[in-house]
Amino acid sequence: MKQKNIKGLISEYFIFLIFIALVVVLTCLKPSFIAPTNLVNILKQASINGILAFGMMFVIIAGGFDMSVGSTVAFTGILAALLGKGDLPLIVPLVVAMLAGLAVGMVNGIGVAIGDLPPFIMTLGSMTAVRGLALLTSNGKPITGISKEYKAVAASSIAGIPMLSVFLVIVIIICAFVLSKTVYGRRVYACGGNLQAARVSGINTTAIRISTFAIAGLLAGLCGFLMTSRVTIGQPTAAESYEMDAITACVVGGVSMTGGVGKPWGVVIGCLLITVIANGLDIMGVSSHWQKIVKGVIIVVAVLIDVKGKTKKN
Amino acid sequence: MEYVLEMKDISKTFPGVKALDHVQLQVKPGEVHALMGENGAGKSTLMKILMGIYTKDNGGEIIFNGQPYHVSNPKEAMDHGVAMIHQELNPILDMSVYENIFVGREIRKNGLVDAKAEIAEAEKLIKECGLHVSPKEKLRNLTVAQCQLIEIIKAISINAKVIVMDEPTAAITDREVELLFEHIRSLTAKGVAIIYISHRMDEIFSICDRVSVYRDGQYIGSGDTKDLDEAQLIKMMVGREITDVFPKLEAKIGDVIFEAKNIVRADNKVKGVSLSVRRGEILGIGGLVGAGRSELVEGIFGMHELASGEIFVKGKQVKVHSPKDIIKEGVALITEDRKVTGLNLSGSVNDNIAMVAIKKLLSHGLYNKNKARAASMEYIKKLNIKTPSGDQITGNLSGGNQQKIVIAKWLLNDPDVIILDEPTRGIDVGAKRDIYLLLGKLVQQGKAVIMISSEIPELMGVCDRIMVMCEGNLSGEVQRDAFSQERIMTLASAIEV
Repeated sequence: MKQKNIKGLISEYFIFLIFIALVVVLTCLKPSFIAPTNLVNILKQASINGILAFGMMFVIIAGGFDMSVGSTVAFTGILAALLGKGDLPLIVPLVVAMLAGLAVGMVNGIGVAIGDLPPFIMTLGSMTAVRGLALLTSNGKPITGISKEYKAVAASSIAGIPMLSVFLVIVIIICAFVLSKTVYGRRVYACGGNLQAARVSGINTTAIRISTFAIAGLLAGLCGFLMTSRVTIGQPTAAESYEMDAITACVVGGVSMTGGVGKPWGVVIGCLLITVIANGLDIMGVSSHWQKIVKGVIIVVAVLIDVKGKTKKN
Repeated sequence: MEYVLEMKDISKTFPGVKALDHVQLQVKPGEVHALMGENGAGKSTLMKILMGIYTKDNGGEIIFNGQPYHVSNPKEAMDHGVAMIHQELNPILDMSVYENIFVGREIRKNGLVDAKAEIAEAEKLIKECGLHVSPKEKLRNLTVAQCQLIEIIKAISINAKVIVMDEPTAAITDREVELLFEHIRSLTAKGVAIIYISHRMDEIFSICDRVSVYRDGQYIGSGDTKDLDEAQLIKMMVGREITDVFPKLEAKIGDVIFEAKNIVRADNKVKGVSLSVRRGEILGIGGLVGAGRSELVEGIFGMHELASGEIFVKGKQVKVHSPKDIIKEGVALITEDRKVTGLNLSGSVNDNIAMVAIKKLLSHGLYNKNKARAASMEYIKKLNIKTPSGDQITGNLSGGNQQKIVIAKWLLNDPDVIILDEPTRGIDVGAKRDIYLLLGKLVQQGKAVIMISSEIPELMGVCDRIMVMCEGNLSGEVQRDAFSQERIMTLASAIEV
């Protein structure tokens, strides 16, 4: 019995152990990895993907997934750039970007929950169409000349912690709270765990499913706003394949693609893990080509562990 | 108030089909009321209307607890005190026991989930039910019977006055059925009414007080079970007299055609079982759920690794590494779960029938649709499969017809040994009888049949010989002239001597 518990704990915190091991190995190989400046850098790199991953987490736990968030980041980034050029208060581009993201998410959610489209098809469509919107609104060219204050959002930091990461932490706290403490959160898990069961238990599964896509869109809008600040221009081709990074962070962090399973702290680790791998390989001078191969292998291995773990328990 | 629930003059029309035609149902408080009828009789439709999953046609009324009752979704039904335990159990496997009990009606404190209160409440309910699980246990780690009790606890916890149970014993063992019946009795003692849907006659007579029968969307009649016998009930259900529930055709028993010696599975679920069957013989395999019966035939069929064992077909030893090896020798296995291992539910009847013997349906090495259609037509007729056409999607057909399609796909391959695992589970009386007759005809042609069943009367009615398994071992064998329910039950629950 005791041994079973230890085994259970190891499998539950497996990804955390991997993360610790990786940090130790990288520190031994390259002591500069653990330097404060590099750690701050890692935090910064992890932020936008982290926020996207948390939106994605809602969708995946409820049994869907969303390919369109990368395009949404680009599109809302363009909108934010257009509105961030003049003297308008920064709240305007922020709110508009988030509302635009929300709208995209609602469309996805309605298509999936009411139109009964497979999430893959629905969000593949919106991924393509929203990328088109980004190109259309920007005329296919980068939007330059955003205000100094706007640029400062991503460049500034509070007590040494980059502003981007402050946003990430706020998002993490809110999402973790919603998922673990609220009735709504419980129902998101119920929908992904067994949609039919949730429905006959009296849960409005349509509304729950739409709302998860809406959250993913809303957070993608926030990322669009932050992205433009970070790169100081609105790029219609930005954030290509960011959705894949977000899905990777979720899956590596133990969120099950079949829905119903996943913990917020897992996604935090998943997100840090892939950032640390990229950063570590960078400072060791490994080419970005190899990095992609490593990332691909990690995704498959993570899901393999997830699937094997499940069948064993059965 | 005589009735807790009255459904009067209920109709339901689906596009092109009248599923319910002015039917009624009256349920008294504290009774177990059986709904009977063949598949498609309208029982589930009626219950779905009660739960608010379907809306009834205009006209007719439902009176619950003396009040008019209108619901548009299951939540409203539960708020009124009507709960349903669905046939395909609906646990959320990755959630804990207490989360499952309170899903959809979480206990709140300051607008948030009050997990502590839920756990405490769940603990109390679990104890009352005599179940020994932690409220924090994941449902994935529970047995089917335990999951079912959780569903019952859920129904109790909403203070349900009427609980609908749809085929509650389809997936649990006899011992667990007894436990379930005890729970049902303690519920009815408190005045809860149970609406009980089952195809198993023995259960109807042992647990139900009254019964209402439906046929083809019509209400046929109601009565006290103590005034009815099996033959009368069947007559009401099928609309004609079935004098012979288990028809048995005469067949000449010949040489041994199939033999398996000392089968031990690598996972030790079967611990050294031998069997042999002759041409013209129907061999039954009895035992409790979990006795290793399915595991035995699936092991023989190459679906699972064997630690040891030899298999002989027509006197020739066959090395079985995968099902392909033994299919080639003329053996067929109609698996237990037709939805998972039997059918491509989104494929047409033709596609499914062509699945095994596809090599027979080729011309010049390519799949010939006309040949497939002709073959499929032949079997639709032969097995009396009720489908509008061969192009119908299999998933839209009733359980009995689906089962016949699984059998058809194997027969097209012309096997000599046919193994069937629970071939009549969840299908109606008429379709069952068709299958018994078919088995009889097959052995008349000199084929051999091995049939697993949990229903002892069925085994005794159809088989020439019954072997009984218990905990992965063969616990005994009974010849037809020595068949008795007690003998088989004793062997099935054999306490090791």
